[in-house]
Amino acid sequence: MNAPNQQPLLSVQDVTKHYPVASNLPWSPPKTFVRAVDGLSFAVLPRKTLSIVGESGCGKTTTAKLVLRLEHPTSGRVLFEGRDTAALDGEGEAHYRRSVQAVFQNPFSSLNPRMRVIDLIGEPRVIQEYVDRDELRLDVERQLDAVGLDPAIINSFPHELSGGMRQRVAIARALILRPLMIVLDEPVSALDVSVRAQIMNLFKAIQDESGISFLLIAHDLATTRYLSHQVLVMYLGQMVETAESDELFSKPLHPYTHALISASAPSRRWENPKEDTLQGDVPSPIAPPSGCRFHTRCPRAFERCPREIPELREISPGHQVACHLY
Amino acid sequence: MPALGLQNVLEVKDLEVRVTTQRGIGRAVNGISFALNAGETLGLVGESGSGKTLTSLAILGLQPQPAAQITGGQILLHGDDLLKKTPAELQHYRGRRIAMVLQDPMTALNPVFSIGRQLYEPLKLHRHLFGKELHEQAIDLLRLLQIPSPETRLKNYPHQLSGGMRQRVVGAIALSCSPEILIADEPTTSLDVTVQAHYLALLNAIQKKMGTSILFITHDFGVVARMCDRVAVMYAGRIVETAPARTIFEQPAHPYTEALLKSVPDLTKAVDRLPSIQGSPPSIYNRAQGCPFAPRCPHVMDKCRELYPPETQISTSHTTSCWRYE
Repeated sequence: MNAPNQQPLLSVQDVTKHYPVASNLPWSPPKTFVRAVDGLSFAVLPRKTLSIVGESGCGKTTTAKLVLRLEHPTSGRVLFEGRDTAALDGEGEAHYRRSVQAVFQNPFSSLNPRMRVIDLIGEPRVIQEYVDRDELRLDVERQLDAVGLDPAIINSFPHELSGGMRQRVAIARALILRPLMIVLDEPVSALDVSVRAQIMNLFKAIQDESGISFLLIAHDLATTRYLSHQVLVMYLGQMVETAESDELFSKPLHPYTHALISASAPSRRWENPKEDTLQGDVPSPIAPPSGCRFHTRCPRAFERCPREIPELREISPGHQVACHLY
Repeated sequence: MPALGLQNVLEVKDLEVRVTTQRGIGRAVNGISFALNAGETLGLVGESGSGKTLTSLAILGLQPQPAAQITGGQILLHGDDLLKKTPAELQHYRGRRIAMVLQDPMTALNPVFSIGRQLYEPLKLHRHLFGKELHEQAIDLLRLLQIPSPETRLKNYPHQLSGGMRQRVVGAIALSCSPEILIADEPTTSLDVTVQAHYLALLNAIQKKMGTSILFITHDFGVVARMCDRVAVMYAGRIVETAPARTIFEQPAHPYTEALLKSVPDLTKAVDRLPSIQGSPPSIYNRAQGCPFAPRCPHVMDKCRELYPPETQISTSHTTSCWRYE
């Protein structure tokens, strides 16, 4: 699947994002930085889904913002179709905005409560080009149909819709410009359990039909496994492991990936499972631990871990891990 | 149900809660009955709007009045009806005999008081401790919840603690008077998976030590499998199925339970398409005659739309309300 000759749609190269922490005096340069993303590289292939997983504070949402150009990287480059997104001209920028769309976590806050469904879904088209109202209505109806909503709701306001329906409206809005990639930031975690499966199936159907790539940001591993082809595990702004989805879940290498999987694996009380839960919290990204950033919580840490930063090593084709054990 | 000489601590009988708003009268809790046995964990599982939180609040007399009113039923603590108590008498039960852990530790703690002050409050009020004894007891509680360096933590304010630590402080406050019953309302939904696994393991260990009965409210079957001895599944204000946790997972009887379990993706295997439940749960304002799950049920019969099915005993510990088992 990871054929070397396949051109990535999006490629992120050694990107860092540091946020300055307030300095002592307004005019003095900041002394400390929050290292939200620290040297991250990955690629999203056409028609594929890449997932980024990790605990809160690991920098996965910052990564999504960098890809969407809502934030600019401190260093490193984000390439889309081989072009640096930081250096796009007007035309290129318009193309980029058209091609990369987003669906956010909470459909209760991502939809303007004063806009009707037709305007919510149609707005991206109106911004991009001139379109007359009848054509817009037809197009919005087509999109509603594509996401499994009744076109009769076209004049409704968001408060008239349930959570699942709202998320479908948000998806329709992302689809109307026929993008090449959609960034999904925790797209199902705010939804009810019985509705989650419907929305996840919808994402799969959309990908099968139109070949859109997804960049999925999630903390729920079961969702991730179901939706993605490639998974990237992040810890404190850095990649600790990446592999194809099946490989990662069947043969996780990094102790952190192990811990994440065992924490969300179905553990049955009546089977008396052995719990190896991770102790402690994620350290502060302002002063990350020395050496391997995970060594403070790692059950298999040894004397080399706090001293040396582990390099990313390819263990088998497509499976990379940053850990001294390998 | 109190078979095998098990004593039930709390019994809820035909509880009805109605919510009056501008949109009309909502039948939020529609005649539910369950019993909590000594030392067990009962999971109350349901989606948002199923009435599980309102049920838990009603047990403590904390339902948002005047909008929500208990219109029928009994809540018996050792055979003593809590609904007949005056507010002053209820005060005596809350915190001391029945304690509660809320979903969001960010809002459950008061941001302007130190952890110590908030932890001292129940100890002073219910256990009449003061001085050195009070301080020592508070430190013991923080130790019980595995909070490192409890002396300094007592002086900290909520914003200085991480989410997992805050939820453990909330747990310490809830357990401060060694309550017979602990009501935990989705205590781990806002936590990361790794922190969640640790918190649940901790709660399990404390329960074994103190013999507390836990009413665990959740929508997450992963948490149910880790925590619960028995499970009551709620849908649209009714309990549709009650059974030991293992039976729920291995032989679910009600079509809703079955569909809900199937729609949760499994981390351990790759699947192509998730079976999902069509439609969404009914609004509390128009709960029609008959079974509320009928419009979404794959096994629906004519009878289902007309009359709500009575509770049927499948085995000694397994009951369900479904016409298929009549």
